[in-house]
Amino acid sequence: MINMARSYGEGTEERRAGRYTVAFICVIILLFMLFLLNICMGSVNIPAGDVLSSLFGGDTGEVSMKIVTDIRLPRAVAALLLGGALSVSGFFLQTFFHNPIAGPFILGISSGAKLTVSLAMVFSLSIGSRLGSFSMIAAAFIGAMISMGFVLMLSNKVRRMSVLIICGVMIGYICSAITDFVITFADDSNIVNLHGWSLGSFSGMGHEHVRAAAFIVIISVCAAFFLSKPVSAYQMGDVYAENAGVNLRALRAALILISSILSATVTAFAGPISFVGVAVPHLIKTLFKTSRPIILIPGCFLGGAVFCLICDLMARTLFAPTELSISTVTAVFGAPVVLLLMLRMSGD
Amino acid sequence: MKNGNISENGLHTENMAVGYDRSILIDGIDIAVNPGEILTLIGPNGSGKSTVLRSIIGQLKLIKGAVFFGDTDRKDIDRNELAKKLSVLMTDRVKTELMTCFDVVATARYPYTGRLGILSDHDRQAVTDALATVGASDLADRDFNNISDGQRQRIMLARCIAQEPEIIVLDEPLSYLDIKYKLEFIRILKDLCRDRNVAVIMSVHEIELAGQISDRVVCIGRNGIDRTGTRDEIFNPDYICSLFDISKEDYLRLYPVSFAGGYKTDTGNAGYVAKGGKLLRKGITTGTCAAAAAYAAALQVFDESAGETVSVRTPSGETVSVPVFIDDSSVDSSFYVIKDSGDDPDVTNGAGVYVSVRRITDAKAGGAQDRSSGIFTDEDHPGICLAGGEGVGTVTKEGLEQPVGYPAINKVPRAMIFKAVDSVRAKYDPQCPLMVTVSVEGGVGLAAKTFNPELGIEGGISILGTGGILEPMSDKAIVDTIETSIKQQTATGHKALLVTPGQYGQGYVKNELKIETEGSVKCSNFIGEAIDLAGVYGCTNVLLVGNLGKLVKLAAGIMNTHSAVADGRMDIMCAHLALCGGSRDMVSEMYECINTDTALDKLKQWGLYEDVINSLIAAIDKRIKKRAGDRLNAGVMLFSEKYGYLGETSGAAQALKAYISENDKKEI
Repeated sequence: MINMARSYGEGTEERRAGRYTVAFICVIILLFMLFLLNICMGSVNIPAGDVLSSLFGGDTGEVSMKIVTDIRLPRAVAALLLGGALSVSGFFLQTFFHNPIAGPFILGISSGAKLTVSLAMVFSLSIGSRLGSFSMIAAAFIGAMISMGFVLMLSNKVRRMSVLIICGVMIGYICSAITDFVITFADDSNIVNLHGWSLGSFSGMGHEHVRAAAFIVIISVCAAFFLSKPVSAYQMGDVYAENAGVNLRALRAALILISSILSATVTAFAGPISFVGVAVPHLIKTLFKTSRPIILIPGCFLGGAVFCLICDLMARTLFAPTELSISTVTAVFGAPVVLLLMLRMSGD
Repeated sequence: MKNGNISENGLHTENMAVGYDRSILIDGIDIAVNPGEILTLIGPNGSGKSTVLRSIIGQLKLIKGAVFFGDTDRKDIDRNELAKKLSVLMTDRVKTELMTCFDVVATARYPYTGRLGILSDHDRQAVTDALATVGASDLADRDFNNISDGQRQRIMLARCIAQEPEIIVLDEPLSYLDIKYKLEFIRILKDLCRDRNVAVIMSVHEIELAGQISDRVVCIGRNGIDRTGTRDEIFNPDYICSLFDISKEDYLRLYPVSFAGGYKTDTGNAGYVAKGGKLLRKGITTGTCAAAAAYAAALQVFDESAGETVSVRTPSGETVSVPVFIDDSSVDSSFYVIKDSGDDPDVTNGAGVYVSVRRITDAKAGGAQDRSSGIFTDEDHPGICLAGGEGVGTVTKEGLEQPVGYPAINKVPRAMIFKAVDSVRAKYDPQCPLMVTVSVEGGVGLAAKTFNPELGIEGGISILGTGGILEPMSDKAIVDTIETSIKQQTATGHKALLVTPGQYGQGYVKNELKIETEGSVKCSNFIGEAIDLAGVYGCTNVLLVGNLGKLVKLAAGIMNTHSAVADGRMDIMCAHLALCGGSRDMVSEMYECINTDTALDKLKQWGLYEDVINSLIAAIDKRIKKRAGDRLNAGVMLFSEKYGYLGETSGAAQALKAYISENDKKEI
């Protein structure tokens, strides 16, 4: 918890610090509750007491223990980590482009990652081996960077941010089209697996996947947190950031790299998940009423985790036993927020 | 100011070439700005002012050359160190989200904060101080997006200040501000230069303001750097017109009075005078104003137009060009000149000096009957009569250079007016009798603020000026008045003078010493000159009565007590405190005192009051005797507003006695 209570002035700073503390406590409590709910609820409802005792090594019966530790726990942890990752990635992209509706999905970065991952999967299956977690992340990262390269190239050409967003959406469509093409011509046996993944889902996460994701996400988010100082200066624009002593090139590279790694990791394991990267940072800013990165980066991570836990819970339970794709749910909640933002932007 | 880092180094560029994409826009830029100076870039739109600034701050790559901070190439300065030296305010619009003005200013503390950028109490204080400096403390908690453009600009200036830089670069910072905030903004910048020794480089479109604030000006024209110089070299109408490609007519419509260049004279840099390390703009005397207006009015009598400016040859041998304006409200041919006192405005600054000229039938009569004051004529210019109109004083006492009853127009300006009018008359109708009347707008009110009431000049100000050009801090005009005043005293047989620096001294003499101040002489800061003149006019005794704050300077032999000449009050107090056995701690405490009264408080407290005052008086005695010489007995009496009588030098008692006996004699 960050405590900003070194106050000065007429208590303004204290008021703010109070708001941050309360908001953080709320989000963390929400996170715990949802985490627990995600493990309890499903096709078999397991009482919270059993869940806790199975988590802490108690004996609660073979089946429910297996459900909890092998299926629901990894899935909940994945939703938590990857949701947070997406949201931090979105916050960095918004900072980078000075545009509140930039995000990994909207700019086509997730779709680029999706394309390379599906290519890699199809290729590895065709030669009869399975891809390891880190190879998947690597493949996703390459795709994310290729999409990012295109977006950056375009951003030099187009001045208007709304045009850049449309360009990003187009890049996303192109990548998705190629992905569909690859899937269509892939071996029959792979299609089911691949099709589910390409729509986005937290299902099928094993312990090994979660460990790999946790490793990368935690390191990246920590790195992101330690960029809060230059990011705060960067919010004032290039000229003033440079005047404050920020190494613009290094910071830009770091922003791109971290946001790409984070969204690539998400895509590698859960496929493309829409709107989290845009909606969550915006909701968090509204909740905390600040733009200070030192608050927003942890805030976005926690917020993204909460958001994805809710969405995954709904995706699993609303029409059980049929499971919705995670993007379907995130879009329902995220898209209106993005629409709202676009309306506000055009109002300026 | 707290935490004000005093910088030692300015900024200069060496053979810098700037432009975009390796194509050179402006080449060979060598500009320099010293700490405490303001350098302005002026020039038409699109000439490349912003490009130069953006290259200086490193936003644009230099194509050639280098920018030096002090002796160090910018390239060799660490990013963070550079951020502590250089602060910028550019035209880029700052888009923020949910940032208060405090947050925006706080971004300037970046180079001073730790790894995570958390503000220390010291940082917060710097931000709060900066907001207070620009008068925006009340905006601290407001969202930066929801304030006006003008307020935003001030917040951005606060950001510059909070960065505690040595150099501030600003790109057209005045554009969004209304006139009040423009002036306010400039004042803050000037204060920064003075108090923190900051060097400022800025581009401005408001050339009239640039003229007021620039120590140095770089003009960027269509083909690169056109001219670099002091404001006097730049701000003359002809050059500005050519730089911006505008007609003289348009220019004069915008800036009717020569706003900044001072009055151009034919001797190059003479529009300015160097004082205290700064160039001060010279002004013109009321005599010169009257001569210029008289010339224009005389021309109109013969149906000729004077144009917008009149060239006047001053007695000091320079030719000044003075803007003249027609006075439509007069039935006679009448013109006026706005008195411009230059950088040391006196009471007449901004007043209109009016001169009307009309044909008369008989120069001898001259319409003299219906006038209360006398009319001057001149043997060399027969047929021209010169009278004083409203706002020009009338002499009522002997001893001045005009006879009693005549207008207070001094000999030199009189000659200038006669000469100006006659030079016109000679061309058209050499014998034509003319009546010239000089008046001064609001002269009656202004006179109350001058020495005139004491000199017996009533109903207005005097038309003065022996040189024609008025030098700032003008010594000459004041010393002339002191001389007149002393002359008056000696002419009426006085040999003992009572001299006071001003109102304080007079008040003390009247209220505490119970002595009539009617015959006293006010000497302002010119103690030395007053003593010299007393000697010259044969006085035998001079008593100087004044407060310690001014006269303490005499102890160090500073005979002009104007604070612009020397301050040194505390330095002198400290020296004498040390001489009287004050400890080092006492001396340092004394050194921080803001005025002599608080210094006296301390002395009382330490029990050194008597000793130090005696020591000071002994020093003053020595200095003043040396200045007065053998034939004149000079004494000084010191008082303080708080402690009253402090002491007197050895000659004071004798001088006082002489003064009292002389003035008693007069009454008998």
